[in-house]
Amino acid sequence: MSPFTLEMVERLNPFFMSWNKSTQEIYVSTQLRQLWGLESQSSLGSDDIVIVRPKMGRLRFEWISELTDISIHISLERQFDKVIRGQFLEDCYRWVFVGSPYVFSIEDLHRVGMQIGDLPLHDSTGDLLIASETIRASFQETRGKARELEAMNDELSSANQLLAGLVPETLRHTLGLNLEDGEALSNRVVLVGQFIEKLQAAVEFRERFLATVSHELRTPLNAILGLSEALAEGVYGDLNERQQHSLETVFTSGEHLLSLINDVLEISKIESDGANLQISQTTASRLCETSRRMLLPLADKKGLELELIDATEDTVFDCDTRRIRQVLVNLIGNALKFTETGRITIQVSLVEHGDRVRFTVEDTGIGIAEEALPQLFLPFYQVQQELNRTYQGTGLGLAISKHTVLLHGGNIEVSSVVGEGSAFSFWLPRCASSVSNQAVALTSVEPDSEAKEFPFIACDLKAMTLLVVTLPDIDETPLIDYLQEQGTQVLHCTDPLEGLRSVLNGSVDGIITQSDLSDSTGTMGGLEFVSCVRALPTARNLPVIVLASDCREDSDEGRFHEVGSDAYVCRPFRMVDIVVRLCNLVDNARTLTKEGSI
Amino acid sequence: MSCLNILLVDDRTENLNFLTDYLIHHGHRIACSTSGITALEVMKRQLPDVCLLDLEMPGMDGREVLSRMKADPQLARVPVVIVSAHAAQDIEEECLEAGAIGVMSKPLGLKKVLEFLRQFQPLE
Repeated sequence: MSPFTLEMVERLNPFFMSWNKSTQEIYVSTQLRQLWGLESQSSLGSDDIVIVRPKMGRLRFEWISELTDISIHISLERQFDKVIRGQFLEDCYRWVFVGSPYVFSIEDLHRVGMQIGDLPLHDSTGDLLIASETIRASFQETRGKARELEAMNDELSSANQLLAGLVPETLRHTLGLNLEDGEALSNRVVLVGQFIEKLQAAVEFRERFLATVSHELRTPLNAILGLSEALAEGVYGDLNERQQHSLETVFTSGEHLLSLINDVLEISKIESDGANLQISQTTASRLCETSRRMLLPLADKKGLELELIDATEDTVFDCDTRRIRQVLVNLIGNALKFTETGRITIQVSLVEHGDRVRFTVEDTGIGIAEEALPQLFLPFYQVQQELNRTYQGTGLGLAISKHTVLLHGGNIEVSSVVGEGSAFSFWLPRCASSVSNQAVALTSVEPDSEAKEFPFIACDLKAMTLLVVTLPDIDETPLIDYLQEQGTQVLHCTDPLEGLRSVLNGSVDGIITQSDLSDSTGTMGGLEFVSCVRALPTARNLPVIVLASDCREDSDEGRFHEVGSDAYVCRPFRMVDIVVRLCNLVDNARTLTKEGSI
Repeated sequence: MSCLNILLVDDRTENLNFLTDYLIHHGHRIACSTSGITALEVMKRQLPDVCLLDLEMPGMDGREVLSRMKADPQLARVPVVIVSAHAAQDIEEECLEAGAIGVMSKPLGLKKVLEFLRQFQPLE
C-alpha cells in the first residue's frame, strides 16, 4: 500500500507543501519555493509558516487535524502578499497542503517560470481530494485486512505447527508464515501483500505444474498402451491365454491411469481460467441420448436398466454441449459404478415456468451417508476412501461437474439414502443470456461454506474412545501414541476380560485387537474375544479391527470375519491404514445406529 | 484396405517402434524419422501417402515442419495428421488452420489410427 507520491501531487497541483508526520520534515514544491523566493537548499520549519485564515497564528502540527476548512490561507511569515489558499489533506504518513496563490500577479507567474495556461483550469484541489480519499479508503481497507489477519494469525500458527513437519524451514520463511504478535501494523500490511503475492505465484505455479505434468504423463502412456494393444493383436506373435490376460490388465490399468490424468488436467484447466464455455443450442434428448448410448454397454454388462424420461418435448436450450454431456456421463457413470441391482433413471424436465432445464440421475445403488454429502463435490473426495479399491476414480468427477454447472449459471445437488440409492440433479438456465453474469457471481461466492471442511479425512478421531487389546510382549506404543496424537482416548489392556468389561460399560467407540490373544493370558483367544464382543448388546455395530502378526495364505482372516470383525490388518501396517479403516467403520456404525433408532 | 506409404515422425523411438510394427502388421509400408529436418528430407526423396507428425519435438517441431511443408508446392500435397500428447481439442483448431488434415492425441489407440487411415488413398 503506497500513499500518493509527491510527484503525483505536483502534477496535479504545482503549489503544495507536505509535512512528514514522523520526521516532521517539510517539503515545499518547486513552484511554491520560487513563488516564496526560497533558496532550494534552505530548510523550513513549521514556525516559519503562518495561518492567515480562518484564524491568524503560527502553524502548529497539533492544529492541522482541526483545520478541515477548504479555504485555509497560509503564507511565509514575511510574505503576506504571497498567500496560498487551499486545504490540508492527510494520508498515512503526511499532512499535505495543496492550494493555489491567493494574491497573484502576472509578474509573479512569470517570475516562477509559468504561463497563465500552465495553471490548472479544472479544480485540481478537488482532484487531489478524490485521489486522497481513494487512498485513505484503501488504506483503511488494508488496515481491516490486517486486523483480519491478526485474527487468522492464531489459526495460522496452529497450521504452522502442523506444517512444521511437512514444509522445509526455508519455504516457510519465504512464505512469511511465521507472523508474530505485536509486530508493527505497517509491517503486517507489507507481509500480507507479500503473502498474497506468493500465494498467487504458488497457485499459478500449481496450475502450470499440473498441466505440464499431465502432458508429460501422457507421453509414456502412449508407449504402454500402444505396445500392449499391438501385443494383444498378435503383432509380435501369438499369445497364450495367460499372457493375453496379463496384457489386458496392463491395458486397462493404463486406460485407467489415462482417465485420471485427463481428470486432473480438466480440473486444473477449469480452476485456472474458468474454462470458456462454447454455448450452442441443443435439446435434452440429443444430449442425454448420446450420453446414454455411451454407457449402455456398461449397464448391460452389469444387468442394470438405463432409462431416459424426457418431459421437455424437444424444447431447445443453450449450453456447452460437450461439457454438459461430460457431466451427464459422469453422473450416469457414477450411478452405474455404485449400483449392483436395479435401475438408473435419467429424468429431464422444465422447471421454473420453463426458465430452467432440470436433469436428474437416480440410481438404486449403495447410497451415500448423510455426513458425507457436504464434502461430495470437493476435489479428490471419495466417500469412504476404502471404496477406492472397488470403485476406481480420482474423486474429481463431481468437482468438475459442479464447476461446469456453476459456470452455466445453474446448480447441482444430491439427495441419498444409504442402501436405497442416490439422486443427483442439476439445473441449467434455458437461455444463455444469463449465463455469463451469473457465472461470475457464482465463482466469487462459491468457495465459502462447504470448502471450509478439510476434505481428506472423512471423520476425525477426536472425542473417540478406542479400546486396544494386545499381547503384553508386543510393543504397541507407536500405534497408541499415534491415536492419542489424533486426539483419541485410548484404553489399552492386555487382558481380554478387562476389555470386555469396558465394552459392557458402553464407554468404547471402537476396538483394535490382536488376532492371537490366547498366547498372553490363556483365558481367551482373539476369535473368542471378538465373538464375545459381538454378543454384547452394546457392541453390535462397534467397529472391530483385528491386527495379525503374520499373514500367510492359511491365515485366519475368514474365521475372524465369520465371528464379526470388520477389518483384518496385517503387520507391518501403516498408521493411516488403521485410521482410514476406523473412519469408514465409525461412519458406517453411526449410520447403522441412526437407522436402528428411527 | 489399400496399402499406404506412411511416414511416422516422432523424436521418441519407443513411440515409433510399436506403431511401425503394428502398421506393417496391417499391411502398410512405413518410413520413420526422429526429427523434423530428416522428415522433410525423407519426404522430398519420396512423397508418403500420409504423414503422422508429432507436434512436440526438440529442434524443429511439428508446427515448423507443417508450415515448411505447406510452403513447398510438392510437399503441400501430403496429408498430415498431427499427433500430440496435448488434449486434442486444445490444439485442433490451430493445427487444422495450419493445414493438418486431422489431429490425434496421445496415447494413440491403435485401432483408431488404423480406422483413421482408411480414408487415405495412395497418392499416385
